[in-house]
Amino acid sequence: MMGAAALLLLVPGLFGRPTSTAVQDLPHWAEEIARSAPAPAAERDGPDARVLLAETQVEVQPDGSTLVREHRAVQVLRTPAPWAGRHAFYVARDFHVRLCRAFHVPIAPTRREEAVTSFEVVGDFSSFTTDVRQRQLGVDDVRAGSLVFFEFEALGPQPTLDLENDFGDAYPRSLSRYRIDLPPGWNLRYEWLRIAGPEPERTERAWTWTLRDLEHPRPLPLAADPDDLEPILAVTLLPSSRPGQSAVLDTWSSMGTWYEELERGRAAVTPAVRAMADRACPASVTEPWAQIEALARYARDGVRYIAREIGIGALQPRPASATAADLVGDCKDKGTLLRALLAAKNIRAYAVHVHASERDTVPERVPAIGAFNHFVVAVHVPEGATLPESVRAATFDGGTLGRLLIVDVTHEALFPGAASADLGGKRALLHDGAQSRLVTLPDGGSGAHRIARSLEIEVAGADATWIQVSRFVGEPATRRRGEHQRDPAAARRKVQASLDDRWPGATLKEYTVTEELPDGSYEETSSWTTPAADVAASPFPFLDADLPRTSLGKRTRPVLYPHPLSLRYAVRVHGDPEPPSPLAKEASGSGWTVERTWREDSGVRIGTLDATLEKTTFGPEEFETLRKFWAALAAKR
Amino acid sequence: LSFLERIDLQQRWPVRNLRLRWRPFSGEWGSAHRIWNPAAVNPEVAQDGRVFRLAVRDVPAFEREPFMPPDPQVRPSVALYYFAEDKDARRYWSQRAADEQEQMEAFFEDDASLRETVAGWKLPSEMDLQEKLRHAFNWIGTHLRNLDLATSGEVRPDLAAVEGKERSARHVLAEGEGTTWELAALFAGFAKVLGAQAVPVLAPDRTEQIWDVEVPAPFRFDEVLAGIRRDSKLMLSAPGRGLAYGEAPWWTTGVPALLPGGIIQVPAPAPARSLQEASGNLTFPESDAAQIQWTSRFSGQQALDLRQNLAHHTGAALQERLDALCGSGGKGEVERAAAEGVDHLGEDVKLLCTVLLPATRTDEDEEVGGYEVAVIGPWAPSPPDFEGRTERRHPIVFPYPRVDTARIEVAAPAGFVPAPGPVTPVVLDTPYGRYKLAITRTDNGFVVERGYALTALSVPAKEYGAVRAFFDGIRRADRAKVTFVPAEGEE
Repeated sequence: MMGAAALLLLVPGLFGRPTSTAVQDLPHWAEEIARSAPAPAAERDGPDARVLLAETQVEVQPDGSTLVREHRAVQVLRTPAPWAGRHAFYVARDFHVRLCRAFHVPIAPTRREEAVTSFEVVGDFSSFTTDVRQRQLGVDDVRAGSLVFFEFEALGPQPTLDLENDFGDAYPRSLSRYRIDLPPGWNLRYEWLRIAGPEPERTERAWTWTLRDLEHPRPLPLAADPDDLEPILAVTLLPSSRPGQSAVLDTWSSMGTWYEELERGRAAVTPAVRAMADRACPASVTEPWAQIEALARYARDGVRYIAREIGIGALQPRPASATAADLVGDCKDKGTLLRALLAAKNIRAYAVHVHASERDTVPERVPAIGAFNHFVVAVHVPEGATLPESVRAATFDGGTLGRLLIVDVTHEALFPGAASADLGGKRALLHDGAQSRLVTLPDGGSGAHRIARSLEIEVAGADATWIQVSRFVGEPATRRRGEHQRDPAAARRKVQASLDDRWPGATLKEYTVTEELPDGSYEETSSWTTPAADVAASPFPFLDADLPRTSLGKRTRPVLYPHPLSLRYAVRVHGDPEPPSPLAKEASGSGWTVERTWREDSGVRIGTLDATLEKTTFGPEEFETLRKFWAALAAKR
Repeated sequence: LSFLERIDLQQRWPVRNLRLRWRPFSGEWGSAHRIWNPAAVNPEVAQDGRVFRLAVRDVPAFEREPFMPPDPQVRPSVALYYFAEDKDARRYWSQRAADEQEQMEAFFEDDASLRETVAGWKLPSEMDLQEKLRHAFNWIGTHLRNLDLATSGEVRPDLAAVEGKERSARHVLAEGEGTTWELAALFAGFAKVLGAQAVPVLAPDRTEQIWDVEVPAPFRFDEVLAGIRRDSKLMLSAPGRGLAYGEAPWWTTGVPALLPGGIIQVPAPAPARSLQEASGNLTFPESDAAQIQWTSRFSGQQALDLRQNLAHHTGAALQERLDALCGSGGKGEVERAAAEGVDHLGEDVKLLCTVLLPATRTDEDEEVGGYEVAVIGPWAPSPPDFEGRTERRHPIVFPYPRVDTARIEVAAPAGFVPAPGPVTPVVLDTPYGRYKLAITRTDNGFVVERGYALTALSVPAKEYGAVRAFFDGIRRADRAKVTFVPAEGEE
């Protein structure tokens, strides 16, 4: 990831040109909007602006290239609205920008001189080495009631004949329109994602989809990311005959074949790759899981991640031998290197494309390379491999390919093969040439994501000494490992802060961490002292932090936990003359179970709490069962 | 390079070698540098003709801490800047203040609407000038909307734009709204009509930056206050902020500010001027839930903070903030959250909350036992959070001294009575503040009274342990619960 500050400013232009525009001087499409725009006061509630029109027209040329026109009309709803007068158009590789301009129609004539700034930057916000460009437009001094119009036109080649339109926006949209004009004899197939979208309006060659009154959802705790709710339209173009410069990807299988050609020979086992495999995993290591783990660790830790997305390099991995030589690569480079290393040990592995950040990006019937932004590897698990329990839970049936395990060597805090909340449950493209197909990546269930805490409490006089060993598996381990890798002192402070919150004045004495145990878990040992009276009130003290909750009273959107979870707490209280007398409890509901036990053994009170959360999404109609789950967890005496 | 560029000599990560070479523009501008907080990095500095060189070695990482002074005040850095004409800082700032005064006077000069407005107040001629000024100040608070704090969705026409003229006091009066700067300038205009002299006082936001009077280079002052000269004293006010006459926003206090003819230190507000008073009732309308209704009244700096928190939010976004203030992030379910007086700067702000608290039976089998309920929640603000830090490098700087009080009446559930036994009050009295929690048993429940005063504005790092112990003591006391047991014959 990179910050905006790292963007390279390339083409400054049009600074300071007065652009306050009379309605009659606007382009035709904008003039009509300017004359009929509703009064801003009636609609103003929250956002700084509203998009009156967001329109994209794609005119497909017979050779497969596309002429893209974009129109955007923004009505400013409040003063100040610093971002409402700005917009960025992304310029695909090799595209020639033919038109890029903005107009400002203020609510009343003004003496002020508004200026349009226009400049082009190379880069986006996700990778440094890229040739993707943005054309930025900015209109100064917009005020409540201002109308701002943006217009853009570019022509360029289309390496694959698939298109995607994301209807998301930072502002509410009154009208969104997406239109495709096809050459004679061409057809298309489309699919809506995230919504049951409308049918297109058809003419002989034009397809137009229209959405009205789109709102940008607000972020909520324990909820889907607002970006995951924005409608997407995926389209695959079906030419009358294959154009020379564009690949036709009309099925996922054809995309698999296309990719197979693209990466042919790049996962080859060269002498350099074989030497690297032998360094990472000596011949003495023969157990299959030990081999997979050693090679995956090598690819994860030994190759520095740097995205390099120049030209076809955005899609095509570099040869494994090149990555092995300079030890630098992005997800597809690192993953391809891993495939080659595994091949050197006769372990099969397959490329997998997935979206690492957003959900519900993959259409079932309309292949789209834009559905993915990440590359991981599906490793065949040989018979007899002794996988750790948490990793075993994350394997899945690959059909004719056998038992498979997803390994993501880009994520430096993710144990090889461990289930990842970023990937679990997502549709992904498993590459196997013409047999390539969509699969659902496993979330591993509650067995793959666990938090186990073992707490020994020694009461002596007025004080109690607490010693806790916490072990995290799966996503809880990945998250904590990442935090500890980034800043060990901050990780310690976080534990101290949880003590401050629960037992003000208690100071963390011992704090040790093992970032990655052989089974992939993260272990943390800590100790502290409190007044003895605090023992009774806190039989399972970290429950709230391990399983966050939220307010349900006014909630209308589902509660979404990032992954299934298993909790296991064991508490032993020694020497308390007045031990608490908690009750045993067993409860269960749709997607959850809770079991609590308490007993006494030779003067030691022993309590356990076992809870599982298999279900991760609770709609409003299921809030009652969620409340019961939370209530059952509540630690009472 | 702009007119002033500040370069950090200490980063978020350790630095082995940092070398800086600056060859200033050779035009008609002068150039200079100034090093802030050099002790931690021991910079080596050399001047070779026009070329300035600076080097530091083996610099540890700079660590941010909660409630620390503004970054430029503690982080080692060097300012490289240009200056025009001469480098006399006093003259430079004197001119800057004069320019501001000129701009402010241009905003209200030759404006009949000011005189008409003042005449409309029909103030008795024998009325004391200070009282007249107070009236003008309060009139702005009650009649004009501060656009920088507004939560209303109403859009009013921009008259200046319609006329094609620069905005002036006349437009603010006609539109009934203005920015913080415009309201300050309007007050200065009223003061002139009433016969007083008002001057602009330019202050930095001390949470973000420091103003170094020795550096004669452009500086962005964050706030303009209205200063009224009276005898040898200067009364500072912030029209349109919702503060009382004679008070300045807390982020301008405790640091120097600029005015025509000099520099002053903006005084810190007294704790009792920044008040939050909560009162409410906790009841048990259902067998498995308690409900608390309370009203918190905010005044002074606390009201200002609340207005800032809610400013520029409407609809769902505003409601989310109100819910959060009533504790929506906690274990309770917020049933109602509303605010009164936010847009009326002449009033205190009230926060009205109704929250359902989780089940509180002490025995889940509901055969024996009773109810237990925590009596401190969002109605009583938590003490400052130091994020788990047990050591401190930088001084602690609080926003402002404050007083919070809460009085909650807890009624017994039907069929239950307050548990017997003494309830010992908690009293903490330290150089940094005071705290008291008293829980009194009544026939039908308990009365919980909590008082918390933060009296310190800044505390040296070496006293961190003592400050933390004070706040830990408050947190411990705030975990108090009251218990109800079955009434006789009810078991």
